[in-house]
Amino acid sequence: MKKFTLTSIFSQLLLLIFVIAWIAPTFGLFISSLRDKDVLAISGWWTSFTTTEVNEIYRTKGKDAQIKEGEYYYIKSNLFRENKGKEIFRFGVTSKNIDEYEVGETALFKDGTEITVSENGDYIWKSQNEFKKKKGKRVFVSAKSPPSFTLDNYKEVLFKEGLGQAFLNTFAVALPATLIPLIICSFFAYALTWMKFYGRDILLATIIASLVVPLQMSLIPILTIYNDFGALFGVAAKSFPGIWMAHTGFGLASTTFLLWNFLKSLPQEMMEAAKVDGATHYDTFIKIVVPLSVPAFASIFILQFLWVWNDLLVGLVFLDKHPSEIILTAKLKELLGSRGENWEILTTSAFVSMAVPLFIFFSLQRYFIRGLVAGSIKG
Amino acid sequence: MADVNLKSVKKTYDKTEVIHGVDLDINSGEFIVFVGPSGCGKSTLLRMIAGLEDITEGEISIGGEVVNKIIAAERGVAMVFQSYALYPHMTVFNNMAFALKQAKTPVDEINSRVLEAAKILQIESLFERLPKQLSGGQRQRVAIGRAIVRNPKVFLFDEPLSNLDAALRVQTRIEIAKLHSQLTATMIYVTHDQVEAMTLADRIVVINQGVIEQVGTPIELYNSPKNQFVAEFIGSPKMNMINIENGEKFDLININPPSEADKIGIRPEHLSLANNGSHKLKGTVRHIENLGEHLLCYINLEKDNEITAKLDVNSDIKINEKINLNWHQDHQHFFDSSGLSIF
Repeated sequence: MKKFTLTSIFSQLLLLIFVIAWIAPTFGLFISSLRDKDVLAISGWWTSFTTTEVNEIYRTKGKDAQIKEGEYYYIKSNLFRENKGKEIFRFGVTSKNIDEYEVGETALFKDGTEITVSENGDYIWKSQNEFKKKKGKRVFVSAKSPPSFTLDNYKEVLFKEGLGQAFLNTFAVALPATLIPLIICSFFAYALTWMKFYGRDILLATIIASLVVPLQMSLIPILTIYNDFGALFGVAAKSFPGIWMAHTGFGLASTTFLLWNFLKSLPQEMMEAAKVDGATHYDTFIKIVVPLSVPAFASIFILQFLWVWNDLLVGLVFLDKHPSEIILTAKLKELLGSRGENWEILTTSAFVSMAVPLFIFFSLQRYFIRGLVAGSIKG
Repeated sequence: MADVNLKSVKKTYDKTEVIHGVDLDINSGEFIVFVGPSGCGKSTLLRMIAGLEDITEGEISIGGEVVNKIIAAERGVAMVFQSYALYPHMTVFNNMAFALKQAKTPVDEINSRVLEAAKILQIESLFERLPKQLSGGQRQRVAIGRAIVRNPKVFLFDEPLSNLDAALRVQTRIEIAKLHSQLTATMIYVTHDQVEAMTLADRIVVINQGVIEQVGTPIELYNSPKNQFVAEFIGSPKMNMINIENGEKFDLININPPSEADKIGIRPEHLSLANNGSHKLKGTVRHIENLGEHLLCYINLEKDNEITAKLDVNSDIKINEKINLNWHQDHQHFFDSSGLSIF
C-alpha cells in the first residue's frame, strides 16, 4: 500500500489542479462550439446541460395568414420558426407585463382581439373584424428551453468561413515539416552517436549551441536568402516548399539533440554485436536502431508536429494570406479581427485547430511509455 | 578452426598505452582464457581480436591471415557479450539468423543452421519468443547460439557468465566446456574469475596492466607461478606471502630460504597443524570461519605478517590460541625482491 505523505498529497492535489486547469477550458470551448449561437451569446456553457428559463419575444403573422371561420377571423400558426423543444409556460402581450397569462389562457390585445397560446408555441388569434395590418403583433413568452446542441457552427466555419481550406493548408505544412526533419535528423543523430569521424564533437557542440539561437533573429535573413535563391530557379517567394524548408531548418537542432540523447542510450554491446554479425552502419540503422527508436520518433514527431501546427510567425512570413495558402493560426487571427463578436465562430474555429493536436497526442501517447528496450541488457 | 597469433600488439588511447606489446600464439582448437584484474586490458585485447578496436601497433593474424585491416564481420570470429547484446525487437530465431541474413545465406540453409545450433543448446522451443520473455540463462544461450550459427573459426567470450547467478554460472560453465569439446573450435574467453579460468582453460593467459604475466596450463600456473602476481592471482583464498627480513628467520624456522629470497609463499590449503618442534611457523589465531568442509583461520604471525590457513574441520583450535604450522617443502615458493619466482 502506498503511504499518503504530505508530499504525495500535495503532488496529487497539484496534479488535480493541472488536470482541471487544462480540462475545464477545453471542455468549455468544445461545448460552446456546439451551442446555438443565440444562446451562446447570453449564457455560459455550463448552463447548457439543464433546462433553462428564457424570456423571448416573437411576432405573430400578419393579415396574409388569416382565415375566416363562421363569424370570426382567425390567424393560426406557431410562434417558433423552428421547433427546438421549447415549452412555453407563461406569456404576455405587453412589454410592461410579459408574463401576465398562464399558458392556455386567452389574452386580450388592446384592439379587442384575443389570442390563445399553447405550450408548444401554437397560437390562435381571433378577431371579430378582418385583420388589416401586414405586420403581426408582439407576443412575450417565458419558455423552458431544454439542452440542445447543434453542428451548425462547424458547418458554417468549415465551409463558409474558409476554415476548412486553412485546415488542409496547415496539414500540408505540418506533415512534411515534421517528417522531413525527423528523417534527416535520425540519420544525423545516428552518425553523431555511433560513427567515428573527425570533428564529431565540434559538430555536436555546434548543434547544441544553435539551440539557443532565437528563431526571430534568423527569420528574416533566411527569408531573404531563400528568396534570392528562389529567384535563381524561378520559384515563388512564398510557397509550401519554402515553409517546409524553414521549419526543417528551425527544427533541425532540437530534433537532432533529442534523438542523439535517445540513441546514445542504446546499449553499445548491441551495436557491436551487429557489427560482428556483419551489419554495416546503414543496416544497423535501418534494422536495429529504427525499430528500437519508435517511441523516441513518436514523441519527437508529436513535439515537432505541435510546434509547426501551432506556429503563426513562420507561417505568416513564409506563406501568403490568400485562401489557398493561409494556415489555421493565421486564419484564426484574421477571424478574431473581422468576426470578433461572433463567439460561435471563434469557439468553433479554436476547437477545430485544437482537434488535431489532441488527436495526435492521444493516439501516440502510448509510445511515450518506453518499454521496448527492456530485454536487450540483463535484468 | 584456426590458430590466432598476436605479434607485439600494442593499444594506445589518446596518448596512454594500455596494452604494452603482447606476443601470444594460440593453437587451433585451443580453449584460451584471458584472466586478470579489472582494467588490466584483457577485454581490450579480445576486442582487438574481434575487430571492435583498432590495433595501434603490431599484428594479429587469424588462421595465418593478418586481420589488422579486415572488418569484424569478415574475420571469421563470433563474439558473446557480457550483457548478451540480443536485439530486443527480434525473436530468438531472428536474433540467431541475423548474421546469416546479413551474409545473404539461402533461406533453407539459414533454417537448418539455426535449428542445428538451437538443438545443441536445447533452445528450439524458444524460437518465437522475444528476448524480454527469456530468463538470464536462456538469453545467454541465445547469445551463444547466435555465435554458433555463424560457424566461426574463433569464438570470443567477453565475461559471458558475470551477469548470471552463482548456480547458473556453474551450469553454463560446464555447458561451455561441453560445447568446446563438441565444436572443437578455437575459443578465447575473458574473465576476472579465476575459478572459471581454472576449470575451462586449456591454457590460461594472466594479464596485468597491459602485460602478459604468464601463459600456461592451469596446473602449471598453480604449481609453478612465474612471479608473485600470478601466485597471488591464481588460487582462492590467495597465496600467503611472508616477508623474510634480511635472511633472518623470525617467523620461520626449519627452512632454508635461498639468499636472494625476499618472500616465501605458501597456499592456505597447504598449511597444516604441527607439534612443537617439527613446525615451521608460529602464530596466534585471530579469527576462524567454519565453512563446513574446512576451517578458514586468520593467523597473526609474530612479526606483522598475517596469513590464512585452510585447516581440517576437526582441528581443535580456538581464537587467540598460539598454534604451530607446517607444510611440505614441495609446496613452498620463494620470490625475490622484484617479485620473480626463485626455483
